Amino acid sequence: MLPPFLVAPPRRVVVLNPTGRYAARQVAEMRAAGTAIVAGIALGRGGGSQDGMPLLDSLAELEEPADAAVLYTPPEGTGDAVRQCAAAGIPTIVAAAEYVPVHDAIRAARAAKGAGSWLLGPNTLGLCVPGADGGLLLGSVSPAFCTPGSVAVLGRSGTLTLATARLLTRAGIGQRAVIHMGGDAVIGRNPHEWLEALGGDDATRAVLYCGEIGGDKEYALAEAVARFPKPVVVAMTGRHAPADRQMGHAGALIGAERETAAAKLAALAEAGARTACTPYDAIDILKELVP
Amino acid sequence: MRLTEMEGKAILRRHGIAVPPGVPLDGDALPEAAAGWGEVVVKAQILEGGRGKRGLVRRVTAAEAIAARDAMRAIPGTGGAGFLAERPAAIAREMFLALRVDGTRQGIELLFSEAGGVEVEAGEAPVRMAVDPDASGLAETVFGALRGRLPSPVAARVARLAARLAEVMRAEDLTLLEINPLAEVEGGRLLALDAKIVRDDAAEGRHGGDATRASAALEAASLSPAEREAHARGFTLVEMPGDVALVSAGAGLGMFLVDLLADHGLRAASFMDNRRGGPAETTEARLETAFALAARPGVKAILFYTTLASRPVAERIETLLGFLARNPAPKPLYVGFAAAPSASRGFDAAAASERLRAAGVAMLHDDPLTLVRAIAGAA
Repeated sequence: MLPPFLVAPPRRVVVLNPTGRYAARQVAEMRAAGTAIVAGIALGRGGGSQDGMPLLDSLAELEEPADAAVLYTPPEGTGDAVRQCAAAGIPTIVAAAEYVPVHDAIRAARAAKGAGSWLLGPNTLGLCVPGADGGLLLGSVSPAFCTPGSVAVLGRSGTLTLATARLLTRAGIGQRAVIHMGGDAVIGRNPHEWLEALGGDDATRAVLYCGEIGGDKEYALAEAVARFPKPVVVAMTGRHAPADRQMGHAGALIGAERETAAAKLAALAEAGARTACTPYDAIDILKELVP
Repeated sequence: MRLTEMEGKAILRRHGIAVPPGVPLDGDALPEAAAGWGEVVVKAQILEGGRGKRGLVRRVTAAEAIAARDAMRAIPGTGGAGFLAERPAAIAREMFLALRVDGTRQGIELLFSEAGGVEVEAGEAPVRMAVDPDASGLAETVFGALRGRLPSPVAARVARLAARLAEVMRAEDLTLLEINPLAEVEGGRLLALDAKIVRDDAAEGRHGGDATRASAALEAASLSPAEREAHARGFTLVEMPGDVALVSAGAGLGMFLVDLLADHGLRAASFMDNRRGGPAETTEARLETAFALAARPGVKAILFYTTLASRPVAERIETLLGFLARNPAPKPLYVGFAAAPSASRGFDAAAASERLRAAGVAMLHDDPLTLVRAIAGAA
């Protein structure tokens, strides 16, 4: 099943906790990009507004259900906020916060999946679907880094997802969507779930997956790659990271040989993916695949 | 954070999980509570595994406990570590039981082997199954998976224990809870003889620091002085033997730059990322750290690269220029910004470029590969 935002752009987007400095800046960017934000949810600020955006105390006060939610809720409250959005039947949920406790993330991811929602994050910059008409921005994946096209980008790291989108655009390779899935060990949807969903997307001709060291998500991805009907190109960061050192992300720690970049690249190549050491190499491959 | 055995077992004890009686061995004499045990097992409280092979777990008479501890203190790697003295158990069976967060399956995975202790890796492949602390009848489900590998009464006890440990995992925000060996002792009772426990750093604020003070001290001691200072100033630093001091923001981008440098025959001397609870702006602190690393003889260059989606690039440039005015770069400084138009609003790139060059920046470019190639060419 396609992620809902690829079927039709959300028309009723809400932003939870939009009033902080970082969140307010992202809200302004989304509105400038044309994202259809109908309200901000900020407990205690209901009845007010933020640069013309109405503020409500609760999701329950919306006149019509939202079809996407972007959460700038602090990490301790993110799990609960995601479950609230899932219970409200919001089909696309973007949870930006980093440092969400992992057991909170497990409950949130399960609740979202159980409700049929597509959860990005926790720890995500969100997504951009570039379009000639301005496209869709949910989060902080700057549309200026992206250009419309047919390569779906799936990233584990926010900054690298941004950097890769920018390099693709410069190389003249447009993107169907740029999706930062989330950098934590537990995220709403795993890479293999995104890949399986993109199999049915006619507008996607190839997928670029930007992975990293740590965890074992790439092995489930490899199984999905073997069944995927379109080309998959994979770049992996952390090839030269020292073992047993946490490299920032909760997910980026080489705990065992199979968590190294080399082992993951080998498994994905075996499954049929075209593998690359860097996004630059991936772009060279994509130029052949999506001329 | 990985916890010491002693602090991990204190958590288990608080949840009613049986562990051997034990006392900290930090004075000049065996504590009175242990005096009647006859023998004790003295264990160094370090965070690394393989203690037994290194002579850091010893079974001795009570009278020999202090001497054994002092002998262990002479072994490298025990600096700052505490010591635990436990009452030995009469073991009938050693098993392996672990629960871990399984990120891909979004839950807790149980691993069990009937061969515990050092034999765990030589034994049959472990039982692996998902366990959900909210699931009703969890112990029965686990029992079903274990009954073919253990006598039923033992399987039942292990299954009940596993169900309780799943709750402990969540209540204590653990990402790993490994008991090896899990011992069956006289009367069929189960006893956690050793415990490897890792707590989720993101949940640290829920639990207070008192109960894990020794673990935190050991973790801090494992860092280099520069890494400790970085933590105190609100960002993460991984110091590495290298020839390019790297200043970046964002883990993925940082690892990408580390890889690019290595692909060009260079080695990053640092990796930086944000830190939980740190201030929003740490650019100056990161630059100070990088410049200190760059002052070392083996470091040839400094690479400063960041992506800005919405944060104003002008602010970052001004920070950099202000810093350079006070601190001339000790080695050639290469600078890159990948800034979205929204971050560059009202920003005069040409003027900034000129000012940076005047401030001694060797190269300003927005493409990481171009910068890395320039460093490699100069080196």
